[in-house]
Amino acid sequence: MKKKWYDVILQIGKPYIYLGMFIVVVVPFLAKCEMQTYETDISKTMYEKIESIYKYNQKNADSEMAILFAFDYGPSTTPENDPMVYSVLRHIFLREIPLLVWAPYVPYLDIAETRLNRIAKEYKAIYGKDYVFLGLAYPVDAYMISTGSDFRPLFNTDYYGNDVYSIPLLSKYYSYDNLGLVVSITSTSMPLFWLQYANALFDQEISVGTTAVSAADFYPFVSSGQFQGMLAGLKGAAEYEQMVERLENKIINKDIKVYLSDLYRDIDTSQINKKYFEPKFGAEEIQVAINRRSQARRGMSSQFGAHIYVIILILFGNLGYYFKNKESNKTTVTKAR
Amino acid sequence: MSLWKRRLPLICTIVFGIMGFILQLVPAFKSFLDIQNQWMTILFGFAIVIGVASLTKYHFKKIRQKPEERIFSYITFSSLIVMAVATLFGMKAETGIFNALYKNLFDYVYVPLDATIFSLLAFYITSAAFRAFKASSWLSTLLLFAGGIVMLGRVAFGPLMVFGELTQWIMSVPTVAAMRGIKIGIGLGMMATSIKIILGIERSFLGGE
Repeated sequence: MKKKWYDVILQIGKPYIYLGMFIVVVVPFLAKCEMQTYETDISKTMYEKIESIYKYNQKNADSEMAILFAFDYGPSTTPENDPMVYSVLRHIFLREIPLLVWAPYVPYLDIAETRLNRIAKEYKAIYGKDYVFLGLAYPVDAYMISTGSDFRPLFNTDYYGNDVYSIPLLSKYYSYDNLGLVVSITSTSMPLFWLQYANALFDQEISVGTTAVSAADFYPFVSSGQFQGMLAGLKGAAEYEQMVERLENKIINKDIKVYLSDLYRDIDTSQINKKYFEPKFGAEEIQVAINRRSQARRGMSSQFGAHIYVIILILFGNLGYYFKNKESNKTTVTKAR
Repeated sequence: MSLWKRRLPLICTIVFGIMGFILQLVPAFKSFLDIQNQWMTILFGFAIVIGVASLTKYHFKKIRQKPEERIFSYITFSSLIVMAVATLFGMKAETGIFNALYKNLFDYVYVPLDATIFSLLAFYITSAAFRAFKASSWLSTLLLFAGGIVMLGRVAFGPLMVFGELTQWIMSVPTVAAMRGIKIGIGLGMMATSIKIILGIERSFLGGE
């Protein structure tokens, strides 16, 4: 018996569906298609919050506020979380806001260290003066609570083994009193811990960047004002990327390739500690840094392909079921007669 | 009632549960709160030791009782030992064989494995959407339309912007309303369970009974 068209649709094998998904994700990414996206209020709120810290620091030079940045994600979600990290760190370094960084689990440490130093290098940030990597904050709830008074006794040393009491930045910033914002970039439920321990107990303001699947969990806290904005999935990262790109063009005001090439050219690099990053940019590294500035927007083109593909599949699947049911109902009625 | 297995853990739970509650609420005890936090770090350290001991015990038992599956236990043991040694001696080192081993294991084994597992989600979702996302009742049709609008809205541009605006409304109004209801329910449940544990009414965490 000849198969009906809807039977063919409903019997498409999984390997073909997977192959289709692979193609719609990989092709736009390899073709380096960039996609501009509209900017939502929740992303703008987070951007504005960091801008307000910058403005506060401008007016109050002796009581500047810092940002505590938590790398709350592991390797599984780097495609979604990395672009958020890059653009938020760029924003912080561009505005020269003092930065403290920690990670709650061992597998996150390596990710945190590489990303932090990579972006710090692009803005000539000095370790210990402009930023500090505190290292492992495990168990994180104890560290969150102790930041209410002083986190230094729990750390003893930073990630690189430097005594926390000898680091200039940490003589001023060691509790929520001097933190304008906590930024948690995550793929886990870590923002809820921040909410319970930092926000509820110490009134600390928090912003979150999270994967799209977790975002729905956190929307109630954004609308209640407990989170100062949120970057929801790759789209949130793309929005922030656009906003920071505009800011970077305004502040640096020259081609990024030229800016990075000239960054360490005419300065005495012997004064810079090479433990944290090599103070020079090669041609390949510059290209990677430029590509990284549009990483989320390139990812959005793959996401566009994937979403449209899933919608088409759902549509075809439902049409197939509808006509198959119609046909089987017709057959049942005919048989009954 | 055995002292070590039931009575002592129960007394500890009640004492430290009530103490933790008081330390959070009374500002005068702030210095004790810091001591409690330092103790927590030490206790977590012991928890890791217990975890490793339990894993070792489980796999030794498996090697003895299920010879056909012992290869997986050997892989677990070797991964545990190699990664622990490489991390202990290589994570903070700047050069050397252990540092190279740690870097390579992390960058070229752990990261791709972790990323691969998560990326498989895209394929499963696609297949599930095709086969299970059916408009069989009005509720499932509503879900299907809401899902379709959000998927289009997340990647909207130009003429598709109407879906973008609809998505923002769906995420900030109905989603928030539903999530608040769920979260308030979970919160009340957690509070009730915590009180029952602290007062020694709920004892299932001790095992048995």
